[in-house]
Amino acid sequence: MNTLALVGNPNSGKTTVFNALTGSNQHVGNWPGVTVEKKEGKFKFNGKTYNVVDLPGTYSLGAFSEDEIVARDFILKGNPDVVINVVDATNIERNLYLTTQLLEMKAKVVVALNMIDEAQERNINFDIEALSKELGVPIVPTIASKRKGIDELIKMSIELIDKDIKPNVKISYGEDIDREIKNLERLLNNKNFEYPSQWIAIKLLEGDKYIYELLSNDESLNSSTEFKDTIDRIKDNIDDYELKIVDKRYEFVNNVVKKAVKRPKEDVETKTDKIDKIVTNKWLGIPIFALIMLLVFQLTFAVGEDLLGGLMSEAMGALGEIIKNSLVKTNSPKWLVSFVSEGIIGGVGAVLEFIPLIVVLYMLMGILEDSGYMARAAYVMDNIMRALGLQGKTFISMIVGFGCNVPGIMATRTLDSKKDRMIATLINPFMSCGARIPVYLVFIAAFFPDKGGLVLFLLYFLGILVALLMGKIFSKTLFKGETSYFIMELPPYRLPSFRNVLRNMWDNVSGFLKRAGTTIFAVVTILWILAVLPLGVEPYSKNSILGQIGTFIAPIFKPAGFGTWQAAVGLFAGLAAKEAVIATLGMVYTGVGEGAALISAVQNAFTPLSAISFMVMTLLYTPCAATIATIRKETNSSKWALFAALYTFLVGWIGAVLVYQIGTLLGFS
Amino acid sequence: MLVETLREIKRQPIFSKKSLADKLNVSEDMVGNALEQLKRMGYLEEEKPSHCSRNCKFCSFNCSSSSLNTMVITPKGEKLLSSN
Ligand SMILES: Nc1nc2c(ncn2[C@@H]2O[C@H](COP(=O)(O)OP(=O)(O)OP(=O)(O)O)[C@@H](O)[C@H]2O)c(=O)[nH]1
Ligand SMILES: [Mg+2]
Repeated sequence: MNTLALVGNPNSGKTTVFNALTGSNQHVGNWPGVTVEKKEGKFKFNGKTYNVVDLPGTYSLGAFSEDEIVARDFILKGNPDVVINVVDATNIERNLYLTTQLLEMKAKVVVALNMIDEAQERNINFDIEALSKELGVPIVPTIASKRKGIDELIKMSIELIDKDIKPNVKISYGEDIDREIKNLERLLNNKNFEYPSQWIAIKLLEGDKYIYELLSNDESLNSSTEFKDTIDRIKDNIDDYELKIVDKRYEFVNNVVKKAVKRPKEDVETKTDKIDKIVTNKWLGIPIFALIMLLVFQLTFAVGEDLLGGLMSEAMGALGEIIKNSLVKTNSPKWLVSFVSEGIIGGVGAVLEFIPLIVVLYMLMGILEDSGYMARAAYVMDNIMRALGLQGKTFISMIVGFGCNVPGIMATRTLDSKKDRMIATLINPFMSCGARIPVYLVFIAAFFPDKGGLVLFLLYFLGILVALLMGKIFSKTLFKGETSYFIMELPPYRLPSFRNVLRNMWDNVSGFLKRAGTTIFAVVTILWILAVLPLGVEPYSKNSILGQIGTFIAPIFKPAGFGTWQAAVGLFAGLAAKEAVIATLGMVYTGVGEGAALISAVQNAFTPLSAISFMVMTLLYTPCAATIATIRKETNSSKWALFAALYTFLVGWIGAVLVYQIGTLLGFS
Repeated sequence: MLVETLREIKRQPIFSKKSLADKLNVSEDMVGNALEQLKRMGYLEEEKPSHCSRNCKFCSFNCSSSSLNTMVITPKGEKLLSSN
């Protein structure tokens, strides 16, 4: 019985062709890799029965995967009479790369030019005659899913079985390689391997491990010094040979396509190009980036705070009441009521209230990223970064830092020079991470309720500015040296997928929730204990241990306009995690169970000007413990970690003092 | 074709498939193939965002950030460029 084998790229329609030929019902799927092992079937034509084998889809016939080996072994050892190469007409270059390898095998090939319907829809047209001539094999256009062209394919294949022709197209790999192939062929010729000698020769030059292993078991070959010398010589040049062979195959494909395929003139300017012309423009790029970010923050506020914000804070307030009441009702000890209502609900609750806004912000950021815009932003920033002596890739770690500085700093690993990496690590903490948002929000609600988006935007922007400035200073002083370039593909714009956006959001928000339940909870617990001790003292007062610590630190912050013990304690707690700043304020402004009370307490304790300077301080000062630990780990140096902690504190303090002093001079309060 | 692609990438390190295709006078699909082959043969390497290694306990950040994947020309690739 004669056998036909179906070979082709994943998802090119082999199984559909198989089903059309045999009438059987193999699984057809619209994703690559459905057929894992080969499937066999039969069909009758003119009274004769034929065997059909459906092979797994592969892009190549090397030894790259199990599938490739299964497919090529069947073609070479299974002795099919004809190989039907199912080619996806909408993706012709990639598919023909496989075809060239079938030609190398000297298999009897019929090409089923499948999905011709979709190709037509995309205005891709084929000159079948030219294609057939260039490849030296018969071509049958098919629409397998509609059984179109299948009879023609059967006829053509069966005709070929009896014809004694083999592919006559010769692919030249260049003089050197062609000579080497001839030479190897001569050495292999009378050795009786199951594979054709020429094919083995090509595979040896490509560095195919499987074939090397096969030959290493052949004693007569290995006893030949000529063969050994040849192999040694090849091995010395293997990378070069492999590259040239692959290259020549592509050259061949490219040639065939140029002669036989007509595609609609690719728009000289695609939509992506048009957008890119504007958003990556030398002058407009940065203003547009700034504008987009401003829009993001405005939208975040409009949706996250104005629309949804109230709900969460009411829910937290109500939940707090219920828990407190039930504690009181069950006669729980007074300290427990205080701990739960002031410590946990006042503290952790104050942080959780901002979840809606954070959800919205990270969804919008996710949209920017998934649409492909963020890559453009990185491109635009690359120019500025380089002008400042910084590596463009630094900006990517900075974007990651907007989520959390810990992964931001880990992302600097992709910077290859030590200099670039150190700088990127040291400036990452200035990127405003998600944990700082609750702090801003409380102060915005207290003093700038209708300018929330703008204030947030300015803070983020200030963070970037300070980071760039410090980066410039570092590259001029501490770490000198060349900055290298970075390689990145700008993908075409696309509609963001809901899934990716949701995932991006959840990755950030879940971290936030996790911290609220762990770090923030622990910090609040410790601070609560410090706030009610020593026994007998009025809780949350200046005389508690916490109050005394705060009173001790507070004078440092006097020039910045917030020299109160509560503010000092808040900032101190923020060293553990930035949300703790707000959790602490929520707790120490006693009895605060819900947002509105905290906000009015803040209104009493701060002025608009000192509120701004406090936000600037929160943005810039020493990052949280986890970030410092990461810096230590990544730089492998406690010295640098300590340096990072101290210099950021100094930068934050100077920033806050400048804001307050200049603002006072200008007559703000 | 592969060497030219690699060289062009070095010349314009922030590229799109289209800009390379225009420059090399081939189709975008072809550029895609060339990039894939260059990666497979180890001349070009995609940089997996290292923070995705799941060892970050304090946070979790989006690792599917598909639009921001950078690459490097490996030493093997640099050698190829300088010898051709
Ligand atoms: N429009 C169109 N769709 C087709 C045609 N041929 C097959 N398909 C569809 O393409 C998809 C993939 O077909 P399969 O037959 O599973 O592809 P395969 O080559 O066997 O895939 P693997 O087994 O994964 O290698 C299915 O959804 C088919 O319905 C065609 O000629 N035109
Ligand atoms: Mg299949």
